[in-house]
Amino acid sequence: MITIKELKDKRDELWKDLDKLIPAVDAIRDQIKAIQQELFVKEMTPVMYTLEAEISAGKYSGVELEEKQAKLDAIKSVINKSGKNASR
Amino acid sequence: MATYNKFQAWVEYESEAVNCGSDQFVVALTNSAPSATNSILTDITQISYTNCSSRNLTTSSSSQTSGTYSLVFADLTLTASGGSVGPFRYVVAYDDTVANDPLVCWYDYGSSITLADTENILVNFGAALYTKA
Repeated sequence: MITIKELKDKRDELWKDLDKLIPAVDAIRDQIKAIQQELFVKEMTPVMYTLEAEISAGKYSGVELEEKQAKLDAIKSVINKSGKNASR
Repeated sequence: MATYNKFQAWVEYESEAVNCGSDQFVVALTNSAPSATNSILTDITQISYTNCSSRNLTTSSSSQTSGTYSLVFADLTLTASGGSVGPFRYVVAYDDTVANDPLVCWYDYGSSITLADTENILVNFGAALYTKA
């Protein structure tokens, strides 16, 4: 029967294997994140301007206005964070 | 506005296997009502995507503000090309990177629709696909 010590030794061994693999996976994930961020900015900047204009024009009210404003704030937050805030 | 619904098993996948910042999220279309107890893509009866444009989602960098985590997605326009798409009523989001494609959430359009050739539908995710406090 396998002992507690043997189980812990095996776990330590697997954690070491995992530690070796993680940097390579993280490097790929970082590249994907950068591309996703750039895509988001390109895709959602026009949506941001449209929402701004619609809200300013009073197109929405009540709950719908709250939802649209929340979406606009979320988009702005992401775009501003990217440091690539597009200009008109 | 379509109604948001969460799959219960997602919270476990999210904690144990998912990286929201870099995983590929995809939408599936179905005309059969999903259940909150469904957990993976094969639990869903999908429609044919032969004439449907890409269903891949663009996510922004996921982040937290004051302890609340949000995952924001770009809007997605689905277009029928070369024929119709549907009928479908439910739009399901799932994680295509994790094994078995765990289900995240679904939206109920309220009635079944079919996109005729060249027609499109905008999938608008609101402020965030989901949040976690």
